[in-house]
Amino acid sequence: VPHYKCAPKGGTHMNVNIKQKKRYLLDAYEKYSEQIYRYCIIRVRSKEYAEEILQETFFKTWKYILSDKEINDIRPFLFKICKNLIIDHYRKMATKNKREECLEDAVKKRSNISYLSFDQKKEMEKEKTIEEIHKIISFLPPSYRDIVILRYIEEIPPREIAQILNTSAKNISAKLNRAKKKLKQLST
Amino acid sequence: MENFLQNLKKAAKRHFVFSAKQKNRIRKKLNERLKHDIDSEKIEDTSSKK
Repeated sequence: VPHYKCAPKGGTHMNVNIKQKKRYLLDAYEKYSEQIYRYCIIRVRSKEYAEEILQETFFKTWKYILSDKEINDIRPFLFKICKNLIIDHYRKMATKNKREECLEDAVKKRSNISYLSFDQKKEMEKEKTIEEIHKIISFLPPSYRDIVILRYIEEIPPREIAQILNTSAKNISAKLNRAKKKLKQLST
Repeated sequence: MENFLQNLKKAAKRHFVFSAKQKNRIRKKLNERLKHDIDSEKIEDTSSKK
């Protein structure tokens, strides 16, 4: 995805026509949808909700692009929108008092996260691994969860994570060190 | 520790897969939305020129 600004400084936003905007968004979809989906599914524990949030992330980004606002770096922008949608999702679930139901659904639906294997034993192992990943993430304090997923699973540099979470790269590095120490308790 | 993190990453990437079917389904919806918005923008543009 090339560097892109919807409204370049000193220039007119009409420099970028709607077809270019469309191409820009679709390129970003090809490039980053998989990463964003994985981040979503780890956070919301449901294939259906993860898909919904991913879709909404791109719809919202499209709306933003159409309004000729500036996007300097598309990946952190997408993750930031996605992160906010996940927060909204949990807020909605909490107000409807459905959070438990959501987690139960996730456990039931988790069998959908199977693709090639028909071997029941393998399937059970897969379930166990998925459960363990969730346990590792849940073991961390909430403020470290996003950071660990983004850094150690998605391999996003601290500078970019800082953009997503509205903080400094220094703060992210410090939190990563603390999260590592915490994870050490699990790994030993 | 590094091994632990490597295993976590590998396990997550192996088990949380965004399948081609899912990707195509959402791309289709996205394309529909984009097409709709582009068409309405064109209509707006033509009517403003008139």
